[in-house]
Amino acid sequence: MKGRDDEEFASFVTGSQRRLRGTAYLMCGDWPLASDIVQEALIRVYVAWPRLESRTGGAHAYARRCVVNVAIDRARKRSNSEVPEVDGRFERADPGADLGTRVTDRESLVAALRLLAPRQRACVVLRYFEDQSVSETARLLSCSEGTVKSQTARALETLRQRLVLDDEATDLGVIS
Amino acid sequence: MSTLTELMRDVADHQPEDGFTDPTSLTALGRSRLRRRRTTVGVIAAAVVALVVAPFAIHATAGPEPASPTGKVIQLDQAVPGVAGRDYTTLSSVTSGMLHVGAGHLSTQGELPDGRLVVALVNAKGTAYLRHGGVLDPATGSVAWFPARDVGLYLGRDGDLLVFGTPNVGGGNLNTAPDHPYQVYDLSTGAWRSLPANRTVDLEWGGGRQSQVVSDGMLYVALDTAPTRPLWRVPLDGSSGWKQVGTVGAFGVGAGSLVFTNTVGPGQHTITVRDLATGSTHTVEASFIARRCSADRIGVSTAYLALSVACSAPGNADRLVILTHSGTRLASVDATYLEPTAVTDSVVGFSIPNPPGPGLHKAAASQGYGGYLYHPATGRLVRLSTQAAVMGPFTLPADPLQLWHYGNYPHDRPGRVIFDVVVPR
Repeated sequence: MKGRDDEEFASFVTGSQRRLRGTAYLMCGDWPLASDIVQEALIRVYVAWPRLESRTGGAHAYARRCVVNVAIDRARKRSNSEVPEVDGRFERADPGADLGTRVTDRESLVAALRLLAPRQRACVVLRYFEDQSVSETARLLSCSEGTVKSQTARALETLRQRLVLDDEATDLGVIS
Repeated sequence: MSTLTELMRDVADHQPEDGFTDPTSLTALGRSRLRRRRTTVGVIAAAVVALVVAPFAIHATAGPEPASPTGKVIQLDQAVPGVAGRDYTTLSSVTSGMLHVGAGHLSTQGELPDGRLVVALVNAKGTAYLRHGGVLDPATGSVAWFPARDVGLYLGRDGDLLVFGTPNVGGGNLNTAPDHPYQVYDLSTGAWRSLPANRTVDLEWGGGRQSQVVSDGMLYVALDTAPTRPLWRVPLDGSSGWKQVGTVGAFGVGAGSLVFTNTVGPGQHTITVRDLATGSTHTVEASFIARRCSADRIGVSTAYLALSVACSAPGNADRLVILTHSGTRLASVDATYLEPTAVTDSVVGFSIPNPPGPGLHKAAASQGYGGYLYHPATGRLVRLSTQAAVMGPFTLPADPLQLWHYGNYPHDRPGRVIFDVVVPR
């Protein structure tokens, strides 16, 4: 790429890396791995940069797609040998609680996300974190809208079971 | 009351501040990816050309098969005899008489680009406790001795700097760790320098339980622990102290990259390639290293990685896999007791060493022993010798190779050529 394009790319990286790493972390549950995933995704963006239309919007969408694909690929490679760190009952803290309980909330969510299959996790993250529509999620994952709906429903069912298991009063009904 | 969306945003908002990649590094890595893609395309194009041209060539050998996920499988009997001038150039030849010195003999340790040899004097008891090192010029048979210093095995060269382990580091037999385990001899100044001590891991230096690689102005040392090994490095110019690079399994350094596996021994393997200039990394799919097998050694050039794999017994490699930096497997060589040697951007060297001893070499020709060069771009396999082992460095592609003709020196008759120093072409 030319120097000017490099500057645009660097600016894009600076502006998007935090958000992308958040997506990657929700996909994998590990910050160092999330950094690796984002790095790989941004390299793919760099390679594709000259042909990305509408630099800002196009690059963001492409980067998001790369993050999800890289995360799914790595999850598949790791799935044969890795066991979820937590595989039991999750206690979800009271809403509006102090810092310690909010941390517990976050850890519970990440642990629950780890129990999902990679594509289920991708559906949930894209739909509820990235705020993508069903059709857009289907396009990003290269599958049908029906698949997105069914995968999302299964994922939410798992999350609901895990996250409200010991606290029926916790309102996760709004997520469906 | 939290929704899933709020909870996810809360998680993403609480990120550790380290771990972000510098945009400049990403740009550099992106350029590197583009270059490698072009290299891969070039390699594939060359392979396609070779496939088309090979049937019409006078000395044609079996060309590369069409690209497959596993790459081409190479058998030793596909090799064609190497021809001087076409496949290699002989820089110098060493006779057994050159290695007799008084009551002892010279142990050849390595080679220089001009064909001279780094040697160490072994005493009459044959101990590895080496006090005198020097450079042997095969053209004259004379040795230019270094100032006396107790050194162990020669570990490698970077420019004019020759790196040695002290006796109990490089295969010697002292029981206590020295203050300065590594010594550097500067050919340009004729002076020794001790590399700094590593106080953090001093207790681990004894007993030869480490692997060393000299590359890019650095000495890399991995302690031989399991299932992973801490990897340290120190600059050869003494400009700074030891720094822990990371934790590795098998590892190799070259062409500005550190390449390492995740574990020592059998298990599920991954390969990581780290750009030493930018610190950026990418991983290479490594399921071809079966779970029962171990990654052994890794050679690195700008274009290729060569990884030896031991499946039958730890340390005894029986497969050499050649792949690109991006993980495309180009070829694999299956042979028992295979020893990888040099990797360059045009050739991958390996040897099947025959057992030492008088007479054994007579049977070597029919058993595949010898030194080999594989050309990834054309699929051509050349056998340099039928009675030899190639003793070249694995990670210094600029250096030549030693090509041995006999394994029973220095007891052979004095005028006999016992090995050549060759440069592959």
